[in-house]
Amino acid sequence: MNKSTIAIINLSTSEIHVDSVPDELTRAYLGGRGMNMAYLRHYLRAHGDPRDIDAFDPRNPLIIGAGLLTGTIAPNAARFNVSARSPESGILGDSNCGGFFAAAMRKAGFDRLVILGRAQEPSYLLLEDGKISILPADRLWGTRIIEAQDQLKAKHGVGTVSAVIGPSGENLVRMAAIMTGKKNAAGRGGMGAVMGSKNLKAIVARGGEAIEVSQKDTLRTLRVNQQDDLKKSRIVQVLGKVGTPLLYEVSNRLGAIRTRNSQDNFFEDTLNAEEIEKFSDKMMACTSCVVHCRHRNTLGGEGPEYSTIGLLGANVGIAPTEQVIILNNLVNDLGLDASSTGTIIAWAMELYQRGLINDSMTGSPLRWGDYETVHALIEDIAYRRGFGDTLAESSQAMRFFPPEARDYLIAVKNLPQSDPHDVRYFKGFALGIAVASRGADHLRNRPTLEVFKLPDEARAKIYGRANDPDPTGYKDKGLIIAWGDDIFAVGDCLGLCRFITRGFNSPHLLGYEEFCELISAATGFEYTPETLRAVGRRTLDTERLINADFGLSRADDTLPKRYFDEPMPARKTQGHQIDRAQFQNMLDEYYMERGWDKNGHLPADRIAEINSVLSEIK
Amino acid sequence: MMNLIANSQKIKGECNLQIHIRLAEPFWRSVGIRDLSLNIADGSRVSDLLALLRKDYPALSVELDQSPPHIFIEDLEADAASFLTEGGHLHIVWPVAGG
Ligand code: SF4
Repeated sequence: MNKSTIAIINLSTSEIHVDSVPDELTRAYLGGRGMNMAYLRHYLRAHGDPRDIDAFDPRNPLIIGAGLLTGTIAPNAARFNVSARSPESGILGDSNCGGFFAAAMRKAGFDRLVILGRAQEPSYLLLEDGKISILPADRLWGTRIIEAQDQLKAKHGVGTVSAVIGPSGENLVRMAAIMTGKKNAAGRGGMGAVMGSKNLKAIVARGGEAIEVSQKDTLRTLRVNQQDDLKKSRIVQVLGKVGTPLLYEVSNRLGAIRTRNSQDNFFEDTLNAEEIEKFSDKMMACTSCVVHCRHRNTLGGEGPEYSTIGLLGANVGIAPTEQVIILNNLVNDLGLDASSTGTIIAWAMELYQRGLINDSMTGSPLRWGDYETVHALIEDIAYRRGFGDTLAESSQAMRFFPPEARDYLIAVKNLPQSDPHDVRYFKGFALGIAVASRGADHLRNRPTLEVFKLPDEARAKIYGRANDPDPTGYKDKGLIIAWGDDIFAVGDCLGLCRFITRGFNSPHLLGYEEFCELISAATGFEYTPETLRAVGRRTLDTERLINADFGLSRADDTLPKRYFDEPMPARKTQGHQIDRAQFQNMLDEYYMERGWDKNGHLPADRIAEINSVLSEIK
Repeated sequence: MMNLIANSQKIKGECNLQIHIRLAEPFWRSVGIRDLSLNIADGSRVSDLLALLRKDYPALSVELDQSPPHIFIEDLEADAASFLTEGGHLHIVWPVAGG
């Protein structure tokens, strides 16, 4: 396999430098998220104290990196990560996205882009047959997501795939996404706003050749066999028919759907998968996917996913299915992160309900379930109009509100919670979002196997030692979260989708053994399950170091106040909340599993080890 | 809503409890409907009702073995030994979670 190719693009000077990534670095981080973290730490420290680099500072690197297997025929190898200092949380920003862009970027000749500086005029990048051009985006600027991609396709022809920002990114909305296709979003942490701050509207990839792999026939055989196995999995079969809306009814029945900003924990059945399906005419897929989890809806968009259903439905009190799908299509076309948008609007609604803000700030009443107001507010956020300008600051809007407002913000490390699951019941879920490196996020480590009631022997085999099966207890949660951290990080380094990764709703699917085989066939690099897990650990440790540079430590690994102080109000989960002392015990155990000290810091020898690997970056 | 008169009197007295059953994903697919009502004898438990369903729908029986469900009566989790009551709503739900 060819060496991994990286392009350093300075938009201020129009300089472009193309280089190969040293093999040592590839062996240490593979690609995708891990490699992005290596370069993020390097570039944030290149000018001294990373805290001096504001998210909108031209020196903030916007790093777009494909997974090691992305674009090959490995199952579900579609994904890329976008990383930078986050304008939303102020710490490590990292977002993972599917679709077809990353494969096209690799085929055009680039595994990773590091974008620095700020273009003088709105611009876009064209990646074509190993060359990069910086082109004017004057007619593109101001367009929404679908229109921008249509224009680029019309201009550059069939086979063009682009990643773009919408008005939200252009207007530096702190929860702006980078989008590819109608719905695939690098949504978390405001990466679209970083792109907007660089005056960069789009990255267009076209042309090139199939990605070279070491052993084509072996990889093909692995693909066929793994695909056959995956298709036997019940979760894969069901996701392919129903998609993630499947999860709504399950969480809702349990009483674990974030509703009206987590004041309530269950909502209407109108958002069940069967209602969403009435608006779906097809299931879609990303590059090389064997699952096909994404709905194409009859209202002009794709989705909605479970997260959007919950956060732009139950969380803001909107029940009619069609309205929620329209809001889903709207946030996608404006280039907004649905999770943050739904969380922040619900936060504002509760502040209004409690009289902490009023019409003099909001301009009009903010009432639960008021679809027209939510629709208008989403537009206003994207264009920074009226009260929308305030909410466009996401969690940083706190500075406009009275101090008590913080008590009602469902965020960790200033990142609004990604998913609609109220984590007060399953204690591992709570620990997971508390320690996730980018802030409140379920895709870093969600221990979904907790709900399966697996036999003790099976649990011990998966997690490496015997552990307490009670998902509502606090014991052994550090162990299972550290396990999830590592395997999901490796999946992100490889560019594989969570839905085929072991541990995400199935104890089967693809694990370290299968990953090792795929890596060997694709690249010739040999790993064992242990050395591969070490890549996950290295990624987590590098992320911890990046956040330590921003001053984060144990006190930041926490939860929204409501999760500690208010019991869940109804259904099976009634009465559950997070005990503060027990939570600290979970943190202790988690740090121990990670090899960090009591304050959540890495030991000095581990820091030296990571710095030594990173010294490969010139 | 399909109304099934089950043969549960062979198990226990008269079929005078009507139970409303919600089959969530993926269980309903082996039955063809998501919501059904079923009459069962007084004093029946969840296990009796599941036995009836398994008998009437062999494909559902396979699915229940393959994907052991969570069962709720109204808003509370139930188990095989839980008693059924007249007009009760029983939810058969797949234990998945994610995002
Ligand atoms: S399962 Fe869904 S998100 Fe994953 S690769 Fe397939 S279509 Fe994309």
